[in-house]
Amino acid sequence: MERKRDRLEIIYDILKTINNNQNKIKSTPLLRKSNLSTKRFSGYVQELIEKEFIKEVGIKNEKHFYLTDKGFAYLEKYKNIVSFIEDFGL
Amino acid sequence: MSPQQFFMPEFQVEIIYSFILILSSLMIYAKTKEMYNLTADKGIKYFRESFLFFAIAFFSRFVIMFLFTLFGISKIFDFSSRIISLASSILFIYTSTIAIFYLFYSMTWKKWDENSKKVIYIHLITAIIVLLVILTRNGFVLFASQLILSLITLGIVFNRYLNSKNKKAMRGNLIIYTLLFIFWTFNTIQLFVPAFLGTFKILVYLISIGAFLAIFYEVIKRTG
Repeated sequence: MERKRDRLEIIYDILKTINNNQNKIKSTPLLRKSNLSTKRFSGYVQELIEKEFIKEVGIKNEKHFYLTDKGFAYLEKYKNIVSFIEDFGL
Repeated sequence: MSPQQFFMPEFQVEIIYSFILILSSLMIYAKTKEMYNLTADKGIKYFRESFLFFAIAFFSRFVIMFLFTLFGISKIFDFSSRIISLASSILFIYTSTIAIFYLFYSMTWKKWDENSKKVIYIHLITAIIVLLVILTRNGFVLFASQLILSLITLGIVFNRYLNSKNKKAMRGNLIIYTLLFIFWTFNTIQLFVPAFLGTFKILVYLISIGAFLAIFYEVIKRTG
């Protein structure tokens, strides 16, 4: 049985997927690759846009998601964050 | 109080001790800001706020020590004549208890219902402890409640250590937390019974500083 991903890991996976796609991806492939239900995916994307980790650019069917500087910073620091949380038992 | 008393080695030790602990607590709070901004993780939130409360607690502890040097211990709980003493005492009891509660909550928040308002209960329990200590004028209530809370938190840390995949990394933090709680307890007792530590005071102060600096080091190792 696969282990349940926690919130920080899901965010990391979404951001990493965008980054691995030359920092430009449409909503449908991102949803597919994120391995989340549509409802949870929308919630996470909304949160990431509000917190300025990603931005959505374009119109109608030509909308793409891009990482912002904050999104890149999260990817860069993710391992340290996880190690901090685990080592301090948070 | 003569101005010479402020230049006594004992008073200078208190100033240096308080300064280092307040500064290291504030640095832990500041250094974890970016990590919290990136994640909005509740564990990180309560961990860092715990050290903010430790900083305030050490500041109020210093004010109480200062007033004790100025007026003597009997006046610390003299409500009518020493408003600052009372305010500092309440601030110390409140923030020092909340600091331990928050450290406890930072490790256990996932076990609770995420949407509930457990933090309000933490503040309510702390307010009751403050009232009990002030009304009974008995520091033992504070000592006992903080000791119980510290032991439960240590139990959780120890349990995490036993179940951790990376025991090596957690072992250091288990030792640090143990030292922090033991010496925090000594700090609390010493406030109400100044002669408690006797000749071991400097040693206790050094180990307390060591525990806080060790946590600060562990934090900057991961935050840069």
